[in-house]
Amino acid sequence: MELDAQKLTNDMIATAAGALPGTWHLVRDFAEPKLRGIAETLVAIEKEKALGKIDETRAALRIATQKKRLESVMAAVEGIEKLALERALNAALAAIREPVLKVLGLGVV
Amino acid sequence: MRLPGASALVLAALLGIAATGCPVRLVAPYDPVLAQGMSQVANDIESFASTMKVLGNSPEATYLNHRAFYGKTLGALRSLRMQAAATPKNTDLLKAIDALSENLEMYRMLHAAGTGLSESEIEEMRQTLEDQLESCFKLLSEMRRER
Repeated sequence: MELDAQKLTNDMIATAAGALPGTWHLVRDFAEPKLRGIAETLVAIEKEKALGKIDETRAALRIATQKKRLESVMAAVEGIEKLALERALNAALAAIREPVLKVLGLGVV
Repeated sequence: MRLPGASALVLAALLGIAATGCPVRLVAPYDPVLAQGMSQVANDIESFASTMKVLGNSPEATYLNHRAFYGKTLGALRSLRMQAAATPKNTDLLKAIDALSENLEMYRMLHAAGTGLSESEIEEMRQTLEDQLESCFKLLSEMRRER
């Protein structure tokens, strides 16, 4: 069965977006073209293998490179997500700082 | 209202952090030296990919003529990895660097095997490594933003 780059892209995007429901919008512009590139490359590798241009071993190694490419993209996505959480957390802590200091009787330092 | 033990502890910790004014850090701080090292690796990879594209299937494109590039670049990535690993909470950047190193090694193997890299493989290598470098730079640029 031939791989369909569009379907593969859509499946990868749906899975990644589903795993990051609250923060996917932060990384969509970065991640979607990268996932599309991976899908298109996988389709190209499959075609070369089907045409006998490359053997099984070479195809497997090239497919493995696309797995590592995906790992790099998802590592960046995870890091961006953590940084967004960090910013939100620090903004919330800054907002409650003054009332907390008042309750503790310390005043704003 | 009574809070369960763990929730009360978390709340107390958060109130403590809020009172001190110290920011929470979930990711390592931006490291300009690391970013500079990544830029150098990116230059080397781009230059290598462009050279390979120009050389095509000529005799100069053989692995033996280019093995020094792999050794030098894989060494530079190992050194950047060590630098990133020395700072806590750099997990994601480390994952991205590791995946980039592993891919460069796999392209080295493809280059060394059989007839070397075909034109489509050279283009695939360029796009793949470029995406991986961009992932590192994207993360570094987000780390650099005011936090």
